Amino acid sequence: MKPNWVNAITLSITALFVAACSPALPPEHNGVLYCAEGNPESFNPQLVTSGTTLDMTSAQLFDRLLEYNNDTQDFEPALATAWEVSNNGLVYEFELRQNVSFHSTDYFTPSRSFNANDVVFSFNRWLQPNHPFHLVSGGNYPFFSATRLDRLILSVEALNSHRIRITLREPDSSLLSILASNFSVMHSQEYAQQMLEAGTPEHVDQFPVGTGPFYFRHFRKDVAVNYSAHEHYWKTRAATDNIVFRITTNDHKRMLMLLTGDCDISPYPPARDVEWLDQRRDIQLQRSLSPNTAFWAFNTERVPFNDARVRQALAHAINRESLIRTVYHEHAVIANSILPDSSWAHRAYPSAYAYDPQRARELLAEAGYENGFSMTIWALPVQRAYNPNARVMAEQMQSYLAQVGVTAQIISYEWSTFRRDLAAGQHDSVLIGWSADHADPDNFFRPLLTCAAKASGNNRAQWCNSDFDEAVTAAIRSNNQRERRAHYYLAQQILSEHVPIVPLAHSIRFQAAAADIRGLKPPTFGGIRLQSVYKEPQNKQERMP
Amino acid sequence: MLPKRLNLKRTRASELYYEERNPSPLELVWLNFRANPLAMAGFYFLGFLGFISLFAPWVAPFGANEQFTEALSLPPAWSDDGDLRFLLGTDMLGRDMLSRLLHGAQLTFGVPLLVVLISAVIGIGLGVAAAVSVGVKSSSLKHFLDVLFSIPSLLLALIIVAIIGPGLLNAVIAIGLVMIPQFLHITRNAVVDELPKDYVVASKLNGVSTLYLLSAVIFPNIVSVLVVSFTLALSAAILDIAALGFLGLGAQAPAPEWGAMLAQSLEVSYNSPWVMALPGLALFLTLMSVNIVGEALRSALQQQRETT
Amino acid sequence: MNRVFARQLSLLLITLFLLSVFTFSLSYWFPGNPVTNSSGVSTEHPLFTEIAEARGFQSHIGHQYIAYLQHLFQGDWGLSLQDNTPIWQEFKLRFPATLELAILAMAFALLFGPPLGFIAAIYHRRFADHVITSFSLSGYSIPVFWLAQLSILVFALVLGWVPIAGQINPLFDIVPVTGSIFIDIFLSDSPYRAAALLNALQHMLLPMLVLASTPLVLLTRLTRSAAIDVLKQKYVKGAYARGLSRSEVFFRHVMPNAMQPVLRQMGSAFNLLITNVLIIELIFSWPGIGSWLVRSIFERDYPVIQGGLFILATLILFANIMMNLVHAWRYPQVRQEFYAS
Repeated sequence: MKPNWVNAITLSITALFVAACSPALPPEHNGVLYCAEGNPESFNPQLVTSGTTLDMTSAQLFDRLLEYNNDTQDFEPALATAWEVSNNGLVYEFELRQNVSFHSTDYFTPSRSFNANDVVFSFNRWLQPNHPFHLVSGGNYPFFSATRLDRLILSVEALNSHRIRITLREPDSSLLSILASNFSVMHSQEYAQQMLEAGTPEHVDQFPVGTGPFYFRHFRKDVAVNYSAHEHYWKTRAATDNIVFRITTNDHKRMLMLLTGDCDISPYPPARDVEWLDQRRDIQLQRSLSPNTAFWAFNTERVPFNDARVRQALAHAINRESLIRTVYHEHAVIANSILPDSSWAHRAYPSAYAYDPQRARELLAEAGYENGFSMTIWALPVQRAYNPNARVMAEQMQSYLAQVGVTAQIISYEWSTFRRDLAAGQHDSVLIGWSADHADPDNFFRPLLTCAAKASGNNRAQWCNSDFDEAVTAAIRSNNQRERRAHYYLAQQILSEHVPIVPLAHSIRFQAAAADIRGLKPPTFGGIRLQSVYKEPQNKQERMP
Repeated sequence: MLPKRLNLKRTRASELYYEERNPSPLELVWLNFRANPLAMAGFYFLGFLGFISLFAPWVAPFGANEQFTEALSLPPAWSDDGDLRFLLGTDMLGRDMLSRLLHGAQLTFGVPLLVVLISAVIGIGLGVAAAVSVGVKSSSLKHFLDVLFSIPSLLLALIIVAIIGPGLLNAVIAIGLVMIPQFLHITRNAVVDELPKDYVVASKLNGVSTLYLLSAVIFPNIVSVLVVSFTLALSAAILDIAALGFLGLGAQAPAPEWGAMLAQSLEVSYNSPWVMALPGLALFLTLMSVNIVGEALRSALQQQRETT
Repeated sequence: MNRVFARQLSLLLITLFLLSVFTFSLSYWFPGNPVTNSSGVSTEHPLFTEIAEARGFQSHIGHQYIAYLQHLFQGDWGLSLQDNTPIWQEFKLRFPATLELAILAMAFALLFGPPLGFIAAIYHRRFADHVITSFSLSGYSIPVFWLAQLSILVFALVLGWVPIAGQINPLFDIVPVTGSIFIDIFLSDSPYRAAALLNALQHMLLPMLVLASTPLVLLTRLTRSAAIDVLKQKYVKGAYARGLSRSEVFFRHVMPNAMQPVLRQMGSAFNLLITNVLIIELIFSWPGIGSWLVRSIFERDYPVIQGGLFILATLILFANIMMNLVHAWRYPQVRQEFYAS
């Protein structure tokens, strides 16, 4: 009844807020929060292609036989300590590391350390169609089928407990790059055997066991994935005790969470915010030139995109420089080939994709579409290093296309549905892109645009051209860089003539972290490595304004 | 007390012809309503919105999707970095915020208004028909429907959108489908409540036709209830369509619907907050006006009922 | 009272029956195969025919409905089309999270809404009334998604008082057993339960306040107008005339009588709250039913839509019937008090 009531209420609310002001995690809960962009599709990198899943699984839970060092541009030993290649390029032998221990978890206790059986199991699962694990979790190994590795490798055998031999059907110069990629991880054969006997083989992909720096604790869909440090890691133990991937699909939400301290690391900060982030003292920003390309792919199986003139016309209709300004805020370079210009096989064809609405209208008229047509542009609903905001890009393209009489409708919905429908080829055109998985230029051709990629559902252009396939296959047969370059030049020329895709931009990849995060390295070849990352304990209080 | 005094003032000119004039119930309400300055402010604002909804393409300085690539994310004109050409600044694609808001009024205010009008006409028609033809005065049915209509309109609209797919038109259809039965229910109850009253019975005994009974006898007495539920429905429809736009299930980008604009603006909320603040503010003012007008109508109706 | 109870119960059963018929028929209304829409099993699945049979799809529609009810009550709600996980498992963890948030918000609204309304009524047309009225009018008109975003900007980003996502900092590693974070903290064997509880409270604060705002102002407005009406009544004057003190008049006469129409509208307040839960959970990444339902609509995950709709609508119907019962139970008592004095 007294006006004091008002004061009392205000006071109690204030008290609540003040109580909420003291952020203090017990030291045992010391760990790093990483803002991931989506749920992992699986915990087995062999089964996936999405960068999100790879970031969350591959380098954290598993090891590969060898690794690619971006600085020295050369391969380094990992689970294999040494390797030899036969003169004809068909036989590779790997000496394996001793005393590498697998994760001990709630659901699995290893009785032995890593050996040749594990390597043979890890290969044969996707190599042999009659392997007991081949059909588990769907039986699709998109990376290996797109790179045709499943056809390339004749056999993988154990020579002794720590030596294996890989025999190829024909020479392939990209093999080591592929083995060093994030997909070629080593699983535990012992664990798989146990799960098979227990009748739950799919657990191998849901409750992973690897040799990597972290082991799997639990996963709650849409909320978080928890990992803890692997105490007996063969390299240096992880610098932090726990890693949590918080699943947050919105990029602005991840930014807010980074700014409020709900996340420590945020990969792919929106390009529009990069400059602004750079000036903040509470945020560290890292950039790297990991090779990637954003492109606009036409569904060449659909009318009118089966007509190369229409595709050429659309390529001329859009002003890519202006797209890059709006979407990447200058943090990208214009792409004139699918292959980034950092690669030794790169050759630009700028005239094929130059902005020329007049030419576009002529080409459309030639193809019989002087009155235009209507089409859909599928805009990637999540942001990627290669395209931070496909929707905004699509909106801008809409107005460019309108100028040549083409009505475009933007389609952008939830990521996994989007991917499913995309793989089914329900799009007219799509704004998507590619970040390289490994260092070989082949990675930009065979997984993306060959007939094999079309069959595996990764060819967004649904395009299949025998000349192009021939060129890229010839390139991979050779170990001679000069010869290979000539083949890749031809492949890029074919692309510039047929325009199944319009290359848009090669972007700079950014990664933002709170200022008290130490040991974070710029990402290379798609993957982020968290084993050296930890949080500076003293600074914790200062971060709260 | 108040309305009568006002009434005298207003009718002075016509005293030449009439000794005494009984204002109709609706007129009384209007006179009551006019006495409330806040309500009038809300009323004028709604009038302004109605005008904008009709004439936005001529009033707005630019097109809703016209992009000025040299003026990305400009703050409003009064800030230091602002540009007088763009009074309320621009968004991240260099589109003029003022123009987008003006064009958006059509979608966020005009469209719901239209939907509610249409569903009111259909719902009231059906409600009257139901009241007269079925004539069930069972209060069980009323209670039952009361419970059924407690399911929030947004939830139902979401389900309808899930069936027919996202999009502004589908959102509008969903809202319409949710509103019609509510109008039906309210009208039916109101008519059923009036039917046993003496004045209706008297008219019936006079032998008037059913049409006359409904349109000339009952309707003026239930119009107030309908007007109030109309404003409530309008407020709900505006909010629901904006909410669907915000959730990405209603109007789709680049439509300047305020809810969808708000959803898109979240991307820049931390460094260009005006892009987020403005559509929300516009929505807030619109809803506030509708609510104030509705509230004032209700209290005017109450006063009218008390004084007569 | 028994008659009222029986009547409300039958009302609940009838509406629930209709609701189940509606959610059942959604399988047919959604695009695609009705068996897939209700079970989440695609037509290519090897067990498809068996599942279709178990759900009665080989038989007439009545049989299908019975089978639907059986599955519903057995907790077999089908699989999510998105990731093939059982919906019931997900629902079990999400429902308590929503309930926890909704109950706390409703309690907050009840705790502060009516008192503010009384204050406004007591100081009718004075300063306190004007402040509360304008606050409640604007609070009633503010779109909740805007309010949530503004409060995130102000309280989390600028002031840094509260976190903005989820139920708790996941580093606390509280295993979700029930889904209700407070119960889960209580059940966990973490040595830092006190710290975890504080952290969970911080996470709860902002979504709870934003969620409470709309029902709170609704209750304030209702209480204010009801109390103003009551204060005009002759029995209030009579009570003063009999020499009762202000507080006696207020607590014994004004408050019980004014709460009566407020109680009648309590259901609406709860409905508003559930509407807002859909949006709030999404904005604050709250792992509850609301965000789940909205996302499943994006993803066209029809079995999840069916389950989510059924549970939210049931919650609302149940709450409304409960409010009716409470009201009916209170009503004669209030009347008795009235006659007694």
